[in-house]
Amino acid sequence: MAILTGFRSMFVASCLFMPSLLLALEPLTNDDLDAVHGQGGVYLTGEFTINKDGGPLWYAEPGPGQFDDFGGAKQQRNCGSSANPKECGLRVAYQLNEGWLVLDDVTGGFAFEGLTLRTSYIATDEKGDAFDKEVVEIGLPKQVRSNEFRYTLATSSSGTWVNNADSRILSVRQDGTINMQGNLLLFPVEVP
Amino acid sequence: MLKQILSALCTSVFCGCLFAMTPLNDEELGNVDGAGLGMVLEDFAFESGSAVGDGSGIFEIGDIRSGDEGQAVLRVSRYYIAGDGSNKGANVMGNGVSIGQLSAPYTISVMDGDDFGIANKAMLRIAAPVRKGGNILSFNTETRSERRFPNQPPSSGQRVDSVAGIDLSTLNGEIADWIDLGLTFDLAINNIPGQSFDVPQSLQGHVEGLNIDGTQWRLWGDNNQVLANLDLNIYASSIVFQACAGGQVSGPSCGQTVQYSDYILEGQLGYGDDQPVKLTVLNNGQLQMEVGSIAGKSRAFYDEYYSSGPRVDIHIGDISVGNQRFGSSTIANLQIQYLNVRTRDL
Repeated sequence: MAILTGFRSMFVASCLFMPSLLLALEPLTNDDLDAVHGQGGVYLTGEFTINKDGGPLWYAEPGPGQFDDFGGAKQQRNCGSSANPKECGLRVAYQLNEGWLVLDDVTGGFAFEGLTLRTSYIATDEKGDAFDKEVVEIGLPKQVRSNEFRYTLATSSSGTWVNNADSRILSVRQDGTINMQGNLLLFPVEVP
Repeated sequence: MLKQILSALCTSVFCGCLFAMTPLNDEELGNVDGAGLGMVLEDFAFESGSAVGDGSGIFEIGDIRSGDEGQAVLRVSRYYIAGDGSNKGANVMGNGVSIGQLSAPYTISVMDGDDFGIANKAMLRIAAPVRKGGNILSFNTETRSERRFPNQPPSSGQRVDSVAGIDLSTLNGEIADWIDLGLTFDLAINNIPGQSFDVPQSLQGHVEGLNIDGTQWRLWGDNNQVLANLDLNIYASSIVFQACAGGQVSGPSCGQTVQYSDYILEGQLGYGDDQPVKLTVLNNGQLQMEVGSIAGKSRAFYDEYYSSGPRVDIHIGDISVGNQRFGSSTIANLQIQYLNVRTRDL
């Protein structure tokens, strides 16, 4: 009897819940969505860092091997000089044909404050013609601090990461302030 | 009955899944003609470099070889993008520029290659705003006849004689709406006897009123190789270069300015898949850019190629060094039948 009562109460409970679930699943119309408040967008502050203290796959010092987080032996790859060894940063290799174009030893980071992300509706374009589109509006942060951000652009006959790049094109090191202003607008276009 | 329905449903669902997973071939992809992504940077300005902020920053471009003299390091003190009246980088923040417009945005799109001489392939197009009209430059032509190869009969036809006009109304907006950008750097060359990194030379370049409407990359794939066609259209109302003593950007230590006024480049590289542009890395790790050869094509192809194929026109309204003016300079109707450029270590 107790079991039966249990079933009954479950049944009642599910009857009570079902309609509300169905209601919750009803799609909102554009008009309903339009009335939703709190569409101010997102304000982002952050910092990202890439391999600032060297990558997990390699070690720079000669001598016995070091181990990565999974217990595998780290490969030796020195992105500094022999007198001043340094572990390598991120490597992105893009195969053109037999050879590779390589963005190598990417390390360092950027910190920013005030990146905004929101959507807005634009009715007319600069000329006053109808535009009638929602656009994604990315507000650029006023200031970005780069923190020892470095990369090397190179070409290589091999895409594997154990080899050093064969031929460096240039390397860039940036540490300091970047000032910027403006909004990046993204929207779909019909291409003739 | 239920079992039958269920099995029919399963079969149809599986069939649907299998169909959905059939890879599209090049020809099917070639029919893709979709919408693209439009991009506009409104009221944009940007500046960076060691002289920006509290002046403690570092921006270095290294690993550049300089002949027998060893490594060159460029220490960038300022680089910027701003609106009209940037005053060589002195007036950047608060002086924004719109790069692209809602009515003429920068676009990234996937397109049917058939309309661009790339048969049965889809291609990726990265494009600056479309121009309102045709070319900026128009030319006067005259009928001339000349011998182009020794011991061959002379050939005659319409030849470019002079620039007839410059029409900036084909571009979106006016000079005051276009981009100012520039770069100031100290050049340090290592290993020169008697000189060290402490005695660099400062170089600066500034471009005013830059517009690249009509420029576009078209990219497609063939045998695991990326091929491209490039339309390059550049207008700059002024390009200025100047050298100064290390750390200086103006004053008596600076040399004379070299200025190009009304710089116009209108050019195309590559001609559909008959003449693709290839970027490759050679076995020895060197970079190579190749504009394909048009050797061995049909007579009809050559007739079309030489009458309406890709060409490069460059015109500089005035070149001046200090107060000395050298007048205008033009290269017209340059056609590239084959080009191979590769890097090498010094």
